[in-house]
Amino acid sequence: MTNEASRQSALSIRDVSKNFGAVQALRSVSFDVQPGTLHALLGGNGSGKSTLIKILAGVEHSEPGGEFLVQGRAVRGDHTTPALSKSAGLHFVHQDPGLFPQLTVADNLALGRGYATGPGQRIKTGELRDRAVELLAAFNIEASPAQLVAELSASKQTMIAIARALQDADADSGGILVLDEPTASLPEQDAHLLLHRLRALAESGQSVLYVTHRIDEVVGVADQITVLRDGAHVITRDATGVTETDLIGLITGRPVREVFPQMPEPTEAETVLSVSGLCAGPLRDVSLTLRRGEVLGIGGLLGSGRTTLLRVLFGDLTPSAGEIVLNGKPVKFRSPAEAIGRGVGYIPEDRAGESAFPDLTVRDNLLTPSILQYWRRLKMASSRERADARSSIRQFGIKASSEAAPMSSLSGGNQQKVILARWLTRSPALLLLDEPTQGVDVGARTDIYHLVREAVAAGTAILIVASDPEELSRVTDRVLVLRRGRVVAEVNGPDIDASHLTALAFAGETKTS
Amino acid sequence: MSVPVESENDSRAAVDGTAATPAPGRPRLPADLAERFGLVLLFAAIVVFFGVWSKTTLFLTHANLVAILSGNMIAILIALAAMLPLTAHQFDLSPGAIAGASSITCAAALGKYHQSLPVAIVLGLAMGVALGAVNGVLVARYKLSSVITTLAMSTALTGVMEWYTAGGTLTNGIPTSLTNFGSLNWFGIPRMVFLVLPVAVIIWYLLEKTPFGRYVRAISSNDRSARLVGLPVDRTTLSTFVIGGFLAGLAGVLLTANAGAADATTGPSYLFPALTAVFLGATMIRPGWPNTLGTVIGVFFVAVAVSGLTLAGASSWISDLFDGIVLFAAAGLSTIFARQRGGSRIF
Repeated sequence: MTNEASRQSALSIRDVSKNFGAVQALRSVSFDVQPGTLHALLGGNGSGKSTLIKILAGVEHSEPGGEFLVQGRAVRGDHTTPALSKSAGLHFVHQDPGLFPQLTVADNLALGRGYATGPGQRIKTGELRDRAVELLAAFNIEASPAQLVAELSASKQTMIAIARALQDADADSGGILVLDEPTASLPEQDAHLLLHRLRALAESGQSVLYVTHRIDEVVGVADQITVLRDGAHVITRDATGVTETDLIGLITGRPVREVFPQMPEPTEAETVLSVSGLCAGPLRDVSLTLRRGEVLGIGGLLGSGRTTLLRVLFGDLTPSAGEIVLNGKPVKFRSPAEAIGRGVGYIPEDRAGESAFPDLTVRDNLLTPSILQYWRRLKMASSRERADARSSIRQFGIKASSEAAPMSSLSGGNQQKVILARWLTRSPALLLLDEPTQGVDVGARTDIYHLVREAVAAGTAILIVASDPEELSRVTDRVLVLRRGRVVAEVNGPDIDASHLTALAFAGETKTS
Repeated sequence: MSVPVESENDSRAAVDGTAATPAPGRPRLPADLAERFGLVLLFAAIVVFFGVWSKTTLFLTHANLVAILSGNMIAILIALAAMLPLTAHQFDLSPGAIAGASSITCAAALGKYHQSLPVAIVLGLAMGVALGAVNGVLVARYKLSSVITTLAMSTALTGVMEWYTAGGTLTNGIPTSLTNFGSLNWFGIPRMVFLVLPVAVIIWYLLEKTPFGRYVRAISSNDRSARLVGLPVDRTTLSTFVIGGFLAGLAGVLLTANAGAADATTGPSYLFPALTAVFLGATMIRPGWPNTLGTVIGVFFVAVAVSGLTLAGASSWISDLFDGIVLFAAAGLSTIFARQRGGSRIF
């Protein structure tokens, strides 16, 4: 690599590695972003793309030896700071663009660089407005400075964030604009609009690097593509001529074979749950059936509507359309209490926020949904409560100093076992699990899989959402892949494998249509 | 069902490996006991101190103890009224004003509208329940901030009371059967004790021995989790305000009974000492949680200390100063206790 080549590049990444303990998140990654191009950075979960962006932003440090050059100016990867990366000409728009929806467009733009003030710290409102008008015109955003950001469409909001990030970029070089999954939370139409605008920015000479996991947003949009897999650089190439099939192969590391769903094999067991035409939030026309003793996995990327589906089934959200039939009877739950009364259990993804009672005892955490069972003859049967809690602790292999220990004194994995035991001891007809092994160590993870299997053998039907395709392939009988709120594929027993599921999550739409 | 054989074996081994759980029992470490009963001991020490101190020889006399008892029965009811919503992690700054409103309702029913005593008492209690329900609906149903809602309620009620009484006192038509109950003794003990003590026991029972008590603690710990395990979060929160309103209403009736009169300022003046007692109570018995026994001891803690200091020669300003300092210390301690247990609740 000659100096000249580096100088020509808008951004050169050289030998950037990053270890988290024994895990190599990045392995000596090197690639270049050419000036005035729209460059897509692709990769699956855990490919290292987020880590790389964090190092560029100065939030994380790379291992010594890695560096990056912004228009020829070298920055050492182990000495980055947010200020240094900004002064080097890297301008970031993160996944959550950090706008203030209740403030005006002019205020949002000014908060990025500071207000022009007169005597007595008075804000020069005229200047504030003129500056905003100028920026809105420069970035071709149809909005007025006095408008509240909340009133703008999602794509316009992202454009405001881009304008804010680039407003003090060097006039000649322009630096490089880095966007982390800018389209992840946008509706499809807004995502297209935004990509169109990024395209226009690149054509006007601005170098843009954007991270995405949506393959359809790369083909025909980006000039260049870089793919990371398992922390290693796979390829950097021109986007012309690349197909979605090529990209799936590059991301998953396997040729695209049998990415085609098979018909489900008919099963004898009775149907516990059947959902048809369900619409709620991002969900569009979702239909599924779940039989007694079956584990149905829900795959798909973050934001595909997975959690919404579970919350609707648990009565925590009201669907706008569709029918839910539980044990042969149509149900319309108005609250989780009603769903629990009909034998449904739910373990949310956010343990600290939505399922644990951190300052109550392990016993209370185990028994809370069943308190009324212990209310006998005008008192709580506390010795029975203690005995039942102790037997759950034994049965579920929970490591706790006693049933009276506070929940917060347990490790994450043991807390999750408590939550699992809370529902499994009730022998639910239907158990909804959202990322049940998140933040849980390997040993506890194995225990949790095992407990899920045992519950299934006892007749519980389980719906399990997981981001990790490996996890889905290990514990489920059947997987539905959601993509932007729709079921795009169904995969059965023998066909469930991790790379296959990854491929479907990325490209299910194109392969099944 | 396709059970992955190898993972099954793995996990069985893992479960066996962790199956040995520690012996059951309720550990009572010295540190735990000190936390639970530290302030109870301090309270006992203060009583003993004023009992033997030469400057406060009048402290351990029957007359002084009766005065402390009878002077704090209403305070206990108002403190318990403030405590109930706090057990579900909602503030109530209005029980003093609600007690005042009930007191005036009761006195007006007797004096202005010539109702019988039972009717007047029921009206006083109903006023407390109704005002508590308004607070509860605004907080539980419409999710307004409890601090702001009850502060507004308190302020508005004070205004209405001043308008209604025209700054004066309602003294007409209050029967001696009521005033006797509020001021005389049975067996050398203030008659009010025979009402307030059972009420306190019922509240203790409700919070410590029934599912309702478990519900409020779960809601206080994490209301989102509570909803997702099917607890009736809104109904329970509303109930704490309604029961609190009832207790404040009862306190109001006793205010009229005790003074033989009703005015706009006496009820609201009970708020601050009541909150002090609740927070002090949350540092003992069940540290980190507002609790009934702690609150009752808290009321007497402050009363005994102030009584002793007054006997020793301090002026009436000692009461406010002491309340303020104790509230600082109590709020700090109860927050520390709550955090130690991994909670994020801040009082």
